[in-house]
Amino acid sequence: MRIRISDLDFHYKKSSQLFKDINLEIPLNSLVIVTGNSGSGKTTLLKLIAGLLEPVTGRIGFELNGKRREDIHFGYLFQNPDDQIVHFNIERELAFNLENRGVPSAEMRIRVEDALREYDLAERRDDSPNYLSGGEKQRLALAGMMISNPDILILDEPCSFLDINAQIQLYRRISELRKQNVSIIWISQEIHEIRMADYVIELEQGEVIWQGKSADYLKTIEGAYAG
Amino acid sequence: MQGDLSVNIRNIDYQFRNADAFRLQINGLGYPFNGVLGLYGLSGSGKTTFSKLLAGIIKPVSGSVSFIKNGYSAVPKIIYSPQFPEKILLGIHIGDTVQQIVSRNLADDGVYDSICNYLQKFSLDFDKIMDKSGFELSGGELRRLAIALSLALSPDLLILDEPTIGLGRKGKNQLYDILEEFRQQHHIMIVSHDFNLIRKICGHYWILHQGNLIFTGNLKALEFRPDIVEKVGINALENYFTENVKTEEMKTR
Repeated sequence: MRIRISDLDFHYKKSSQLFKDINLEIPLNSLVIVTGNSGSGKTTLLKLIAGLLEPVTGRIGFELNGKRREDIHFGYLFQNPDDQIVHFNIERELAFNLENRGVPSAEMRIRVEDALREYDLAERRDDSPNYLSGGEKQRLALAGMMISNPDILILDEPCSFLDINAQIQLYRRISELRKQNVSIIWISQEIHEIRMADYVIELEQGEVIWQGKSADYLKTIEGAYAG
Repeated sequence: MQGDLSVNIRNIDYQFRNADAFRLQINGLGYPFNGVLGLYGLSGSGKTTFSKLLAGIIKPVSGSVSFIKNGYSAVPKIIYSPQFPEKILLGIHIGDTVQQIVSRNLADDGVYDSICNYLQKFSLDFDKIMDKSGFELSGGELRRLAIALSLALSPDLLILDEPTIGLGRKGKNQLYDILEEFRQQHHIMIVSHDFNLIRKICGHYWILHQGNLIFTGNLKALEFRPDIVEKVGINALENYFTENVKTEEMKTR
């Protein structure tokens, strides 16, 4: 169960080369953190994996329970929730993903109700997402993604706008999913989140400068963050 | 120092036109800015709305916000740096955006040197990004650009809404150094849902909860209010991880 990236090259139009000859294996059915400084290529790598960007050359292959690439259902949480939210009403926003997947309406209603309750949005179900705060928007985006039970969760700094209560809820949910061997790829720069992971990949200016078990990664940086 | 600045808030009330669930109400509050002020609260507590009211970007339904600068009633220059830095993108390229923001704020040409200077402190090179579209910059790069622009405009009061999101460890440390210098000459307010950040930079706190200001004071005063610490979840993350470690330890025994 893994993602295998071979000889990947990528650059944005007119921009200089970001990735050159990247070869990387990312374990699935586990919690993987992608870390690195701002501008190192973390978001771009995840967008390439999810198929939101196409490699200039190279290949990204998936081994996941014998599924074909086109049958793998990705759940992608953007860094900025405004990039994700499409509807003018919170309840409709939650139903959107399920509608697109052809979920029958009776089941859809139940799942939307569950999500409204679980993500603490029930009171605001008729409001426009425009009137939500940054943290509430991120919670809505997360709920809208999780509602369809994706095979691979891709989370781009999911906690950045979440307040402490929502963060703890997300950590609980992620620990649960990890126990169920759901594949999670998560961009984070926070040590306490790296501690929750199985595997870590660190990027620097488009290069993979570290990959391996999170326990080993934490040992290598321990000195730098003592105290 | 740009001078003494204090704010006077009188019974402000604010509501969005089409959302009943949220209402911000602040009764009387007078505050002389001194050191860095931190505005903390959970999601939806009204932090961004309150900041925009202070900056004059939105107007209260009733009540007033007024300022006194060097002893006289005044309209100070306040820059609000938004939590979503994409909001500053006005032009096709970064260069256009910067030019438009500079001209809207009637800043002189010297401001460009200042922008370059702040970007450099953030390890960004203006010449390298000016021809890029805003969407080619990473979240952290956009954030640093937005903050550098706000600093360069040299306001009386700088309001930074969630300034560390997307910055990473290196960027955060650069920001702390920059603000340490900037605060010598300017008033700063940090708005965040991350109390560790507020505790690190700010000497005085305002805490919002469900649209009401429930605390104003320093860390010492907050220590006497365990009810507030509990209500707004200030130690919740630490408690969560300590509990988890304990459960893990019990399992391994």
